[in-house]
Amino acid sequence: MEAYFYHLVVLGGVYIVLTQSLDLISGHTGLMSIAHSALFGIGAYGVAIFYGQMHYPFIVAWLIGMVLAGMAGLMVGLPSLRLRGDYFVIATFALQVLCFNFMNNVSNVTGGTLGITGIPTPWFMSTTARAALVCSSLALLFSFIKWVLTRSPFGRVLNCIREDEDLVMALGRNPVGFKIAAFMISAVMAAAAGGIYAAYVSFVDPTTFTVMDSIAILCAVIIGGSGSTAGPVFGALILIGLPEILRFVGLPYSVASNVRQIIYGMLLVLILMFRPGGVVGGFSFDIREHTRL
Amino acid sequence: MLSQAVVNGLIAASTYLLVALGFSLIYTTSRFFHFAHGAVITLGAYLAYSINSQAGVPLLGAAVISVFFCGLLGVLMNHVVYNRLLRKGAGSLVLMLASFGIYLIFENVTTIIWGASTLGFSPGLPSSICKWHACITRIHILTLAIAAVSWVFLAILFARSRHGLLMRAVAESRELATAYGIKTHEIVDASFFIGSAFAGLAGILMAADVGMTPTMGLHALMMGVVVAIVGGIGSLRGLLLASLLVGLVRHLSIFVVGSQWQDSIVFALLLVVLLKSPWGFASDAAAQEV
Repeated sequence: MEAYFYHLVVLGGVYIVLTQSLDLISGHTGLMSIAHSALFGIGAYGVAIFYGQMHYPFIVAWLIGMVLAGMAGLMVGLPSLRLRGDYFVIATFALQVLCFNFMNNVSNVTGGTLGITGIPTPWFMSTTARAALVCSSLALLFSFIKWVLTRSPFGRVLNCIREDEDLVMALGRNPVGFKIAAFMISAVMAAAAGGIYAAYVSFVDPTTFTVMDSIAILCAVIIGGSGSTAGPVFGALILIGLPEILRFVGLPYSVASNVRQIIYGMLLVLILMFRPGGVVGGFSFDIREHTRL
Repeated sequence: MLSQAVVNGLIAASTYLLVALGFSLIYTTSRFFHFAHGAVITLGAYLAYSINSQAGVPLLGAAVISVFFCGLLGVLMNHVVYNRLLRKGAGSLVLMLASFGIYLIFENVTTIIWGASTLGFSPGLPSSICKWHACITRIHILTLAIAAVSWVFLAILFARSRHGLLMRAVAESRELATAYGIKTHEIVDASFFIGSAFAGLAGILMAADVGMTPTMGLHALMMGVVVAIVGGIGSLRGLLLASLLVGLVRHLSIFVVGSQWQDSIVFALLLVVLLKSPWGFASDAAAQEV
C-alpha cells in the first residue's frame, strides 16, 4: 500500500511538471499545443538513449533531452507562431506526428515499436520513497519556476499576447519572439518531466506518446483551470486519479482506456460550457472574446 | 510501379479533397477548426456498415442513409455544443477545444461499440481494371467521380446559387450578415449539414476501399486539414490543387523513403508551406486574413 502511494506521488509529480509546462503556453500565452506528449517523449527517449544505452551521466542525458525538445519547439514555432492560434495547433499536430514516426520507425536509434527497456534506475530514485521525494520536489520546483516566470515582465508580455496581440505590438514588443521563447521553455519543461518518467519506469515505447495522450493532457489542463498554478496541479491529479478510480470500479482493462477518454472529452465540453475557468477558476478564454466584440 | 503510385495518389487525393471540402465549408461560415469532423468521417463508415450488415439494407441504400445521418450529426453538434458556447461569447479557440472533446467522446464510443479491429463491407475484394501496369477498382473510380462531382457541386453552389451567395456573406462577416437580416444560424446549419455529409461520404468510400477502424477519421481529417491549409482555406481551386499535391507527394514519396514515412513527408510539407507562404495557394483577399 505504501509503495502504491509512493508510485502515485511519483507519477503525480511527473505529470504536474508536464501540465505546468503546457499551461505556460496554453493558459498563459493562449496557444493550444497538441504536441506535449511528443515533447514529453523526446525527454524520455533522451534519457533512455543517452543514459540507458550510452551510459552518459543521468544529468547530461536529461539535459540533452531538454535541448532536443527545445529545438523541436523552435522548429515548429518558427513557421507557425507568426500565424493565428489555429494554425499553431495544426503545426503542433505535425510535430506530434513527426516525433511519433521518428520513435516508431528509426528502430536502430529508438528501438522502434519495441521501445527501449532496462534503463537503469539512477541512484536518487533507488527506492520508491526516494523517487517520490525527488518527483514531488521537482513538481514544486517547476511549479515555482512557472509561477516566477508568469509574474516576471516576460510573463506579463505572454499574458498580454493572450489578451491582445496587436496591443503587444503597439507597445513595441515582438509577440512572435515571445511566443517562440514561451513554447521553447514549455517544450524544455515537458522534456524534463519525460526524462524523469523514463528513469522511473525504466522503459519507453512509442505508444505512451500518442496524439490521444497529447489531447488528454490538454483536456486535463483546461479542466483543471488555465493560467493558474493550482489548475495544472488539479489537471495532473485528474490524469493520475481517473485511471486509478476506473480500476477500483472494476472496469475491464479493454474498455478502461476508452471510458477514461470519454470522460475527459465530456468533462472538457461541460467545463467549457458551464465553468470556462476550469475547476479552480483560472483564466476563462470566453471573457476575452466577449470584450473584444 | 510509377503509374500505380500515381493512380493511388489520385485516389488518395480525391478522399482528401472530400474531407477538406467539408472541413473548409464549415470553417468558412463558422470560423473555427471543427476537429469533430474526423469523428463524423469514422461514424459515416460504421453507420453504413451496421445498416448494411445488421439491418440488411443494400450497401448503396445504407450509404445514402448513413450520409444523411452524418449531415444531421453535424447539425446536432452545432446545436448542442457550438451554438451554446457561442451564445456565451466563446471564441474560435474555445470552439476548437470543444471539438477536441467531442472527437474524444465519439472515437472512444465507436471503439467500444464496434471494437478496435478493422471491419469491412461484405463483398470482399472488388474486381479491378488493369492498364499500363496500374490497377484500379470500381470503388476507386467511384471515389474519383464523387470527389469531382462534389467539387463541381460546391463551385456551382458558391458561384451561382442564392444560398451560396448567403454563405459567402456569412463567411465575410457574421455580424454584418445578421444585421442585413440573413438568418445566419440557418446558413451555418446548412454548411454543417453539407460539410458533414461530405465527411460521411468520404468515410464510406475509404472504408469500402481499405476497411474501417475507429481512428481512420482522425488520420483522414488531418490529411484534409493539411490540404485545406496548403490550398488556402476557403479557396476551391486551391483545395483542388492542394489535394492533388498532397495525394501525389504522399504516394510518390515511397520511391524516396519507406512507406512508414508517408505521414511525416506530408506534415513536413505543411511546415514548409507555413514557413514560406502561410496562405497556401489561395491568393484572394478573403483567404488572407490569417
